[in-house]
Amino acid sequence: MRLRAALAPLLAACVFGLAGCWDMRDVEKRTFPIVLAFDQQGSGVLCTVQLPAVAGGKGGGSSVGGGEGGGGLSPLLVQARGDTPPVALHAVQSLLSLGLDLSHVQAVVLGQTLAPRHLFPLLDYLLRDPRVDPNLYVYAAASAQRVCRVPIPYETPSGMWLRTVLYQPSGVRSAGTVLGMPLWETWVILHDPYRDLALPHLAVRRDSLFLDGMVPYRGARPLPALPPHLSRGVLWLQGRPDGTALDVPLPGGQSLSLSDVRTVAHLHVQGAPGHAVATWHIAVRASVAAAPRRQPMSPDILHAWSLATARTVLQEAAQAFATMRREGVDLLALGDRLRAQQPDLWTPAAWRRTLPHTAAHLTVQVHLDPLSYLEVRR
Amino acid sequence: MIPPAPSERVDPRQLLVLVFCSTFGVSLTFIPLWPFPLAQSATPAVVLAAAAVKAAILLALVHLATHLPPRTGVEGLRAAAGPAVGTALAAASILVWLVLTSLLTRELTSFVHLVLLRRTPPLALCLPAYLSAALLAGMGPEAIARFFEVVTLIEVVVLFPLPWFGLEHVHLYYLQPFLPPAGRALTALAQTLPGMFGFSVVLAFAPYLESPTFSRAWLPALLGWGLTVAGTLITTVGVVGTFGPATAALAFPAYAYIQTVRLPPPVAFLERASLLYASVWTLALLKVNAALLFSATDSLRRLLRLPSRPLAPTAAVALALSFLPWEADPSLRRGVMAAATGLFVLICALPRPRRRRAS
Repeated sequence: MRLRAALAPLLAACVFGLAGCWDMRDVEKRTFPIVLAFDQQGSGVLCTVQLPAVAGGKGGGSSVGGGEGGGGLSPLLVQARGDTPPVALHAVQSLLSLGLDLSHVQAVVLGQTLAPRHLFPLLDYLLRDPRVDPNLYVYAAASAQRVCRVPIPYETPSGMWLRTVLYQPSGVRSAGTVLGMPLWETWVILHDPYRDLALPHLAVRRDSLFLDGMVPYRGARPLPALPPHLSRGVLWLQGRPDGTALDVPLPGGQSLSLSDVRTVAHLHVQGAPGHAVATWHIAVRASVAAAPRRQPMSPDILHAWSLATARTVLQEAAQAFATMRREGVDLLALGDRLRAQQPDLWTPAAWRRTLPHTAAHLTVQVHLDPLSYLEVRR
Repeated sequence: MIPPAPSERVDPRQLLVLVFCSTFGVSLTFIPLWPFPLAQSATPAVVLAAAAVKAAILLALVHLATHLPPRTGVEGLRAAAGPAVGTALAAASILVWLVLTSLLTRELTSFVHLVLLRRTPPLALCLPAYLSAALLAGMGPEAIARFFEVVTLIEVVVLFPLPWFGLEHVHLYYLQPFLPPAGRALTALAQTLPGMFGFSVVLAFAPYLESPTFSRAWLPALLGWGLTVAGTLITTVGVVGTFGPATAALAFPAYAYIQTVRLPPPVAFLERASLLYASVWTLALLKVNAALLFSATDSLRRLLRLPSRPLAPTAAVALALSFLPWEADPSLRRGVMAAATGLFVLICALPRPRRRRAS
């Protein structure tokens, strides 16, 4: 009886022990790309795959070669062309003697020229592959294959890599780690007729990667990239900057550096088809990291800095909303909130007609913490 | 009436864990695996109402089972509806249990094949699953109950806490409006009903109750069941709130939701907790299969008055049925489920003699 009792769970566990057999290749016969990049090339798609950076690696051949990256690490790039992104990816596979295992892919980069008709099938294809981590990040770039040439250290987990990219001292520095767009979320937004997508925009400068704003999509069609201050404006409206930095311009050409910026945005939207009103209350908390000149802290100075910060946030948020309204893209899920209130009234078409006529009322409240500044001074 | 052997008597606590979780396992396949009709045509209120209806029916059945004479559903049917009608109904019930076993096996195999072991042929997954379910069914109710106890403990540990970590992705506007129009609510609620036939296994286990009256010993089972229900409800809310209109395009919405979970430190090193979820899910379906197969085998023995349970032929029939393409023809599945629901209602509606109180 005991033997049989032990046999049942063993048999059940046996189901999970079948993975190493069949036609699966052994791990040493597989290769693990880190970045996948897709660009439009003529009527087809160019797929570039970055394989793990290896010390002293040398490229060779027309389709397989080393990248531009320095520092002793040379990423191995493999490129192939196909009519669609999945076909191009399979063409890459055909160039390699090793099996292409997508389980370690950390980012997918979409060239801005990639035709809109390829976007949804590509994301759908990746998400349906059980090996692909649905939490990998999706980016946009002017040239995806150029981004792919920047070496990414293989041993760093995806989260650390993202942080490395974002803490480069330029670009959308204040955007913080919230700018990553997971693959699954990208796919969900493309399914939602009320919402539009905004992907973080990657730029390459001197062999380093920088976040350089975001690319809004109307449906699956990319629009011109938003510059850093407008991208930040979208983030203020979404209440997303969390633990990031911000430089606030002060009168006289000086600036105030804030760190650990945290935001909460309360949104209320109402109206009828034809005209809607969105009301935001944005609360910002931040620490003063560096002030224009060393002076004794006083409530008046702190108040003036708070006002300047609120003015900056308000300006960026208002400009971002105006841009969204002009371009007709809903990056803030306003339409979904209206639909939730009156589902029969707010059809996707009714919302699209209303978006250009939507008004925004913004209030910003800033609380600055001078403690860190005082500690530095002491 | 065939009295159960003393060694086959099951402690009520074990039995409760068994029936609650097996029946809930069946309903698992109809809520988190299949929430898109609810997401499309209904709202969270319907999801909650469906869960509440199921819970109420299940509790009523357990209450009924404890007040029945010590006979199974088959014997009860014969006593209540007469030999001819009762035998026909019982035979149909057995067939539906076998169909459910095969349907679940097919679903289990598809899930493991598509999500966990893509390179492994489905048949290679199906056979061990069947063998282990048949082995458990052959070992009798006490062994099944013990297996259920262990698996339920694992389920509670995994299925209850894990979905909470994904709630950060939930958009409240995807969960609104909370109340749908009445017509749509009723339609959506009716779509969840076929999953309730699994509850009738409670009646098959009735004679094996050692002490049918409610006692404190039942509380751990109720607690485990409650936590599993709560975990499933949270998962369902998480699925609809995270994926919104995209839910309908997902093959396994609950699994896709768990894939979005990122565990916080100090357990952040577990990058793919979804695999744990999938493994527990597989075990849950396996135990449901064991309970259904045992119910069918034991009922067949009582129906035909056989000296022992005909496990091998019953399991062979169930295995053969699992080769039918249930997922390829939705009308086949709907037909079986509709017949199952009708039978279930009949079994519940038939008058039963009350248990004779000991003087």
